[in-house]
Amino acid sequence: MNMHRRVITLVALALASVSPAPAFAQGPVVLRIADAKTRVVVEREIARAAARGLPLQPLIAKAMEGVTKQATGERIQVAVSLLAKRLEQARVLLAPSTSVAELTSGADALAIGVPGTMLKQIRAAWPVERSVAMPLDVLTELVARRIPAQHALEQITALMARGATPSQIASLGSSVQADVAAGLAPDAALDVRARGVMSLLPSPAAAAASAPSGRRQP
Amino acid sequence: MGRVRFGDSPWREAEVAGHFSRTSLMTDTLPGTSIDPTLPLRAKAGDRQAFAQLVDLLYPRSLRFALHMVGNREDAEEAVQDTFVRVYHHLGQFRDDARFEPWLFRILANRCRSLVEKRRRHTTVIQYGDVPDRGGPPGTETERDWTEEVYRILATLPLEQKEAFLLRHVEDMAYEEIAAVTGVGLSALRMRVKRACDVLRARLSEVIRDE
Amino acid sequence: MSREVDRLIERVRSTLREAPEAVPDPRLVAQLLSAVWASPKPSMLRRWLDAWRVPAFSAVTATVVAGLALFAGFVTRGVIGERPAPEPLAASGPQTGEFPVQFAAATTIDEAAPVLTQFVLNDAKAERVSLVGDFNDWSGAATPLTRLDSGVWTVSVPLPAGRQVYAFLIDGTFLTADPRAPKSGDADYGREGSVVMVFPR
Repeated sequence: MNMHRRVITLVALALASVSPAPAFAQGPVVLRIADAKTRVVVEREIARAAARGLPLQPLIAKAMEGVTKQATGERIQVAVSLLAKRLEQARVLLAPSTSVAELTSGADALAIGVPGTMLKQIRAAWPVERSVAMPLDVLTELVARRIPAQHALEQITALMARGATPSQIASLGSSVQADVAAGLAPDAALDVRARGVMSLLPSPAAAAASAPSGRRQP
Repeated sequence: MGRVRFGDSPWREAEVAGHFSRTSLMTDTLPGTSIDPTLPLRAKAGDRQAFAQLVDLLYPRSLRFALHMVGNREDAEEAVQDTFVRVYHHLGQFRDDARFEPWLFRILANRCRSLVEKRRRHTTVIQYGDVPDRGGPPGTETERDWTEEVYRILATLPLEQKEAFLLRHVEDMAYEEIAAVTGVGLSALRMRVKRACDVLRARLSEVIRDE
Repeated sequence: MSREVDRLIERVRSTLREAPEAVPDPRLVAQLLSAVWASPKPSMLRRWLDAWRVPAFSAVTATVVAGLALFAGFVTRGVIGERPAPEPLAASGPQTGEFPVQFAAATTIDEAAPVLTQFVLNDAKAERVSLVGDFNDWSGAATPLTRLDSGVWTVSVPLPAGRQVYAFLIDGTFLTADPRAPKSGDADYGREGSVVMVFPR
């Protein structure tokens, strides 16, 4: 009976449904920053980034990270502004990818010193409909373990071309992490682990035959 | 609902003692189980992290209740897992102004009752399972005897008495909350708890005399 | 006599409350959450109808509401009164001008699905521990860890697959990296966290 009533009301309201108004238009972001001056400046920075079509979520997280780490207002503002720049760069380099995950992963890779051209190479290694967030994350992680970016890129793109799954690529990052923590030289760890993942993959001919349609690397 | 009068019976004093000890028992043995009331609302709004926190906080209590109700670990785990899956799928029906634990326990108690009924159809004896050796301080032997005896008596109680006793004295719920969980009136619930206490008292007094 | 019986019931309560076999197996808890996330969600309409409470009304009221609603619908659609300017249809890509709603997802559902990840910190002296990271906007209130009797703190959280940076906030003020995990580096604020690689399902 209760459900019946809900349905009637729902139908009544559906009759009143308006033209596609911007139902989800958001108001300005309000941050939980105690210092009013910092809050205003950071909110303005985020609003500017939003106006450029950048995702808000990573910017808000960056600002709140600063709050939790008890950074000064000025430092928070700089960090948010730099991240906005990196997100914008990532959007250009990873085009046509526009997912928040990919842009954030691209921005993180840039932050650790991965050259922009490498983001393009990663994007080109997989068809456009496949997210390259994981390969970018693993690239960042390998560089963070002091592996030269070029070396890391070569191994990752080789796995991508051979049809490795995001999970297999993640396992490369995680195994190298553990090896380095156990005292293995980072470059050696990468080569050993990349060979290990490669051995699990089908031969190049089989991979080519079963690869999804779309842009494929030669 | 009028209060059930017990005059000077031991039961009334046990009730009073229960109220006095509630706070210390809650903090001593159930750390972190008083849940943030916004958690269920956030879970209802689709926040998975909030739901995961609810599970983290309430799984231990739920498992304990189920274990005492059904008498074996496998069925208890099944009841609890099934309950949380149902809770997740019916969060939309949870009223924003309601308390979450009685709502959860209503589903859980139903699951336990059904499982016990199902088992009864297939077997006549309910096995509680072995009480693991806690390897504690001297006197462990006596402690184990006591624990085994408590479990044994609990297993012989009628299900509705056991349920009311567990909710009142182990889960520390108010009678109004137990009524919400079981759908049974307050005076009937008080009578069930009293009867369970009477049985435990009568049979455990012998164990105490032996100690 | 009665005092002795009180103590007896009290002892039963303690015995049942401290049942050692009632300690949950963390693997089963993790399995439960994985099963819940993997199970088909109730339809949005059903959930919304469940959640949405409508006050009781009679058939007459319903008719009046429907009539008013119809009128309001005609007005807002421009059938009655002035026609409003046409609104652009929601685009799948990023929108400019307004705050962007959301970007089109380029990932498959499986790769994007959150994966339950357990965090553990051994700190018997802490009174409160919470997990912070981009996934919860570094909020110390969002993800508290639960203390086990052993003094070990733990929480299982669904996280997006990929490289996740996190830290523990102890007693609401002291931020520390995870001693069991590699360090993240932090050029922005100079306070390193830890890294976990979350595998997609």
